[in-house]
Amino acid sequence: MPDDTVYPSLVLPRAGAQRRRPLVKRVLQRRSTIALFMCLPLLMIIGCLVIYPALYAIHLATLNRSMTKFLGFGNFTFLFTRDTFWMVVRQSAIFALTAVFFKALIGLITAHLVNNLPDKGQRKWRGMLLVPWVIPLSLSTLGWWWMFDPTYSALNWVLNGLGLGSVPWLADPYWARFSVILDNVWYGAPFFLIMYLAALRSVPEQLYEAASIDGANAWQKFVHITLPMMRSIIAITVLFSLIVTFANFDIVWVMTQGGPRDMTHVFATYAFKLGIQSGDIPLAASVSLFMFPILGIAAVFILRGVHKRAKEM
Amino acid sequence: MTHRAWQVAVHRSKLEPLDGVMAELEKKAGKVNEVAHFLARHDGHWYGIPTSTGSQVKPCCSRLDLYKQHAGIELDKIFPAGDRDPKLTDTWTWDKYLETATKLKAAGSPVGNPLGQTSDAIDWVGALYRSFGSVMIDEKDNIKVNSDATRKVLEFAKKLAEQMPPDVFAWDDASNNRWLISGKGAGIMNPPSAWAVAKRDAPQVAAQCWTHDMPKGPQGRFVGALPFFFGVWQFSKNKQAAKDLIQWLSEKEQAAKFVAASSGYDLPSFPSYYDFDTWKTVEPPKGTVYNYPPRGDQQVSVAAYPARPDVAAQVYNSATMVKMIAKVSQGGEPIDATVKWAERELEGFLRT
Repeated sequence: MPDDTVYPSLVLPRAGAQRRRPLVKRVLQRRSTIALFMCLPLLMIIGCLVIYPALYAIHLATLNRSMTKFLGFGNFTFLFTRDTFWMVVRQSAIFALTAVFFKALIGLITAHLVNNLPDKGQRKWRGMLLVPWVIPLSLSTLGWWWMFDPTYSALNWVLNGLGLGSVPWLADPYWARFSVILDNVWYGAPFFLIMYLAALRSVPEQLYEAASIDGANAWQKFVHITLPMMRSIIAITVLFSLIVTFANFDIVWVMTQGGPRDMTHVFATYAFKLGIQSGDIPLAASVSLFMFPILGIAAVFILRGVHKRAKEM
Repeated sequence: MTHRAWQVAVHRSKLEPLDGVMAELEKKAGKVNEVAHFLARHDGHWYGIPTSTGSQVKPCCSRLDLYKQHAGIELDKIFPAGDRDPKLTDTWTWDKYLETATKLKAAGSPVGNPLGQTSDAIDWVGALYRSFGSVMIDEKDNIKVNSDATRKVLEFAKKLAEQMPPDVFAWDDASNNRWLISGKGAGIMNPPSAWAVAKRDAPQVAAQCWTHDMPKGPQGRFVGALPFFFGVWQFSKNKQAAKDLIQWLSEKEQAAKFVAASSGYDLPSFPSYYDFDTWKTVEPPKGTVYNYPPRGDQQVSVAAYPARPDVAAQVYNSATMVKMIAKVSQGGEPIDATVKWAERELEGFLRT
């Protein structure tokens, strides 16, 4: 047998042994690495436009008004002493919870209606019902604002024509809250419609057939088959919509600017007034961040439930 | 860049001092008005030069025919487009305004002044408070809202709000214009923009519009001012060119052109510029905006004066003074509770 220390080129490789590629080349050729590179532009955008501003906002929220001194949680303890701030918390909760509830309800009902339409006509209905969601929000809110305008309200013109009195859509605080919620529901319901329509399509038909054989009526099928099968998608859409609705700015700012008497302010509009208009950026950052831990905890619990159900299935 | 009212104070640490520009302008035009001085001069330096474009005051703009028919007064005789009789102008007080507002409402043509959270509301309400002697915070950071003057102005404002349309609490900066142009309103407090649009859309309304002084209160006659300022950022690459341009734009000849182009809406902050022909000649009716530049005993004012700018900007932008009126009138809250609420709000604005 040749000595491979003298004649290494004559040594044949052992059966089953492979030449090792360089480490860098191996890493670069992995699918996960290729995927990372493809996602890198998006990760950079998220990093620059979401993560960095969020971290900077956290830093700002710990500073005093002139941004010269570290206060820790001082801004938050200050906010807790302000009546206006607690009013904003209450209003944001009313706005988000009410709007999301009605968006989900209307989305669910219209999804069922559209799902039961013949396939031929369904597409045009889906398209029409999506229109509120595709119009730029500030533009559609301007349309609503004109309909609620104190002097030339189209809605009041209709009411007056029917012999009814005018409604102070934006002047009375409670009607103003109703108006901003109404606009938000009109805008956001199509999102729920589309998500729930897709979820309905994924429920196996055999379950309904088996239930029919067992004598279940429409309501029983809805409660015992449809809702449980859609539970995860309902949880995800509600969570997503809650986060987005809590952060809403356009609707309130265009319609009421937080008035009358600050009674329609939400976190984003109040933060804008404090930070951009009045120059107290750290306090505004604190207002913006207030909901972050609460929504974060809610997201953890909801997504944990979704994950658990997915594993069971 | 143009900065609106409080923004010079808010951003002054990033703005270039313009003392040289202002010194040259003052040599030719004299001093600027008190409001421009208060908003743009900080720590001994000028950080903004008041523009003509966009700068405005908000005096009364009233329908001559409706006031004559339903309230029995001739506003063009009290505030003519020329020399005025002080005995007549002294009759135009807030009490007189309320008395005529009551008659106009009964006749179906109420006056309308916004009580929302935008600058039109804040400016006229600021002038109202000042004319009663009510101060939110003084120049030494003392909270002064809890005073007889404040209580008097809130009692007055509550009565006045009852004579205005209930929607005024939702009015933005365009709502009062639309109110006047619709023909429903007998008067607003606004620069001549409403009249200018009425000339195009409702000439029969425009022909009856007359801009005139604000009512006089126990402490004087004040009109809400909203000046804009030219500023130069410290990071500008061509500061000298910017300063030269600002100086040229602010000189009398150029200011006259801006005023003419805006049909008298633009209001320079140099009182020596108030003799422009535009205010005498635009019509109809002739002389309709002669009394738009502050004349006689009317003084310019900005809401939240004399608090230091960092504090006053917050008081202004949060519309604290307007919200106090809204609380006692629309909200039905007691005046004392409202004043206490305002004190707590103002304490918050004093944080450093």
